[in-house]
Amino acid sequence: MKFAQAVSLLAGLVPTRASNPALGHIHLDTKDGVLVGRASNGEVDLEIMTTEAALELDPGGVLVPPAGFARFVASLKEPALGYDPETRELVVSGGAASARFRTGRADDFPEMRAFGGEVPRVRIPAGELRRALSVRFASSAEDYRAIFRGVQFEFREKGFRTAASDGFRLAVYDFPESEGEVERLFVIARKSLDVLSKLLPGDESPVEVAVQGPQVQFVWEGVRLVLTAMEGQFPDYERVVPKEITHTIEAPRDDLLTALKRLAPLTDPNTARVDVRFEDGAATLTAEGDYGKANDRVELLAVQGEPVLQSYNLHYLQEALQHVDTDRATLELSGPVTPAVIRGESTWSIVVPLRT
Amino acid sequence: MRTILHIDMDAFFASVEQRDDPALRGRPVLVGANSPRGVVAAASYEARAFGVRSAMPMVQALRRCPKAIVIRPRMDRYREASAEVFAVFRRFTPLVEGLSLDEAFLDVSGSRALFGDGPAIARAIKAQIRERTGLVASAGVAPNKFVAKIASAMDKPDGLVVVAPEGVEAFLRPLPVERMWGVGPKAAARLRAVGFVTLGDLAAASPDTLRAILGAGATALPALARGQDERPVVPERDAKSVGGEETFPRDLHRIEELEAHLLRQSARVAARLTRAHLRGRCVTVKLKYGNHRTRTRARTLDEAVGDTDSIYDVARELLRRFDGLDRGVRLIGVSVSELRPAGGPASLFPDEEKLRRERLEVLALTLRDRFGARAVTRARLLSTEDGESGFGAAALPPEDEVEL
Repeated sequence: MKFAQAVSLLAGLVPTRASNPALGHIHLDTKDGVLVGRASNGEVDLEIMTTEAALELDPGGVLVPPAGFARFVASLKEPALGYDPETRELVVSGGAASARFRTGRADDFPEMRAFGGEVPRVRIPAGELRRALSVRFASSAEDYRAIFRGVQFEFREKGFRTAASDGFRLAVYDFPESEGEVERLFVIARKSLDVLSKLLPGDESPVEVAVQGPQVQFVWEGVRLVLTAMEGQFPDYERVVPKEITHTIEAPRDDLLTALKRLAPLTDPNTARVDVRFEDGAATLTAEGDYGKANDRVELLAVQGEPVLQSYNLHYLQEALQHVDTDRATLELSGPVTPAVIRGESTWSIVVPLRT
Repeated sequence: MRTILHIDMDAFFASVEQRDDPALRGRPVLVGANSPRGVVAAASYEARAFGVRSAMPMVQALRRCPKAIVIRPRMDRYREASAEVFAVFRRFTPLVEGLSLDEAFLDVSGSRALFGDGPAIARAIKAQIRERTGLVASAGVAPNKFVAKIASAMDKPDGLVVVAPEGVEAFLRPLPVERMWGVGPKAAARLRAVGFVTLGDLAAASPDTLRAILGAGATALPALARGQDERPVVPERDAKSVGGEETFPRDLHRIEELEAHLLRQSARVAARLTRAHLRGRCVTVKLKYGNHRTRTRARTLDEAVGDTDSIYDVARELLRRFDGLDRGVRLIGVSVSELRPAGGPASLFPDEEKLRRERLEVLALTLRDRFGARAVTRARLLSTEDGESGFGAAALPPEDEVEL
């Protein structure tokens, strides 16, 4: 990765406040003949091998201030780097511009957690991993039961699954193929996964995942990211998946989403309630709020079951449908007030209807 | 030009009692706790003739009016009557800003085409309140809130005072400084000491002079005294917290005693939350020590609660975080804030114990509604109710609070 891009990504991870002042900096060091940058916020450790040739730095590397350094480097077309051991300054130049950044000693910067020896590893295509992280929408942004602020990773003998819930809905992503030997469950905080999602390459190049104790390491093309798993047990969501399905409804995902978007401004702001009546081969959606009442009708692709009315939080239903990875969304219902399952191909969600 | 009404019910609590019990009509009635620390929550006009006022210590009130009949407050009954009164207000305008159970501002500027001018609307509201509730209200009609509020108090009971826009300054000028909103007896004394006797004096004062006398908050007084008040009528807001508190006839020193009253308050708050279909995430306990120093402790929960046990569990834990309970506590209160509707999506992973508690709360409330307040209670509360405290310290009638 180019030095400027690496520094920018590292600077984004540096916490604004940290109990260890060293964590308020980017750590630069040399490794395998190139310049390596590191940053940590205590929960996430990030190491990036840059394409920049190694410098003669002090033993153990140096610390540089994150924001100003990253902005200056990013402003240069072809930044050139040097290190002045006399003044212990990092010299950055490009075109007619140059700057000398005072550095700090790296003694107090924590070691990057190592994953050596017989650690179980699995390889996943980067794009697949990014899609699996899309379940984050269903995790909680509030303080409600800490474990709901995370995403559960389930590595099995073959394939893996991610699952997230805020206690009122659930989103799952299944990936049937993966190479490796990790068989573990762990939960990682949504905020840490936001960092991973931002860093992952856009292609299908392999990402190696290793698990050691509470640490999970993701490695790809010069990037090493170590995340800390959350404490606590994710709820047994399998038990809330409805077993007796009374209605199976196939609906055009985009048409339903368009109708929901149209009705959204009309919902009651407290409940975001939308009533959905499945009848005569169509879904009739109704919303009523301060401004009045509105409805819309979507023709269904297939329906099995008697007419049924369910009420949902419109935003929950919207996000569950956006999670569907096919044009055709399959809704499995088992009654007016029991949870609805909404399926795509690799994705499925559970949405709990509103109580009347 | 706006038309603002301020409607104030006359001796509201006492009038509800006299309405409900014909034997009380024409007799001096005091609503409040008849105990050494009780205060008068409301006094009927018959009692006021003896110089009794709201907020006066009950002991003092009874010295002035020994034949007064003291009634324990029935907040549920007053809330019911208040709801009927506010329903009348909303027939005339949606812009109703409740100040308490018994008074409100109404902006009727947009209703004049339908119901006539301000005085006509005020007369119609007073008539409908009397017809529907049997209660009497006083009204002030003016171009703004400040003047309307002063006007409603000018001709009580059953008054109607109209201040036309061109008459505002003349109306305010001769009034004593005590009429100014926010100027209590102490502030009034300081103003009078330096020659500010009437609102006319305040109207002519410089803000800097008033700041020097009363502090920074006083700089707005000259404009108000000239009748300039642009504050809008803010329609009903959702409650921010639901709480209750009680003052003990004598200071309590033992945590076991306080816990029993804390449970009682938790039960009251839970009942009100359940009735309003609300739950809250933040539980606060308030204590007033024997030396009148007040302290609070609060805890925000992961999940909103609304049942007695859940509120009490947190409140009891908070109580243990107070220092110096052995010095004596004269008041204890519990409130729940960060409110949200009890409806909404059901939990995907329901807490069975919490659900059981909520069902129990609803069931108990249903039984009380049907068979009376004493139909079902907690065994631990039996000794604290009806003034038969096992601790020898029955609480004064609890006071409900709804913060808006």
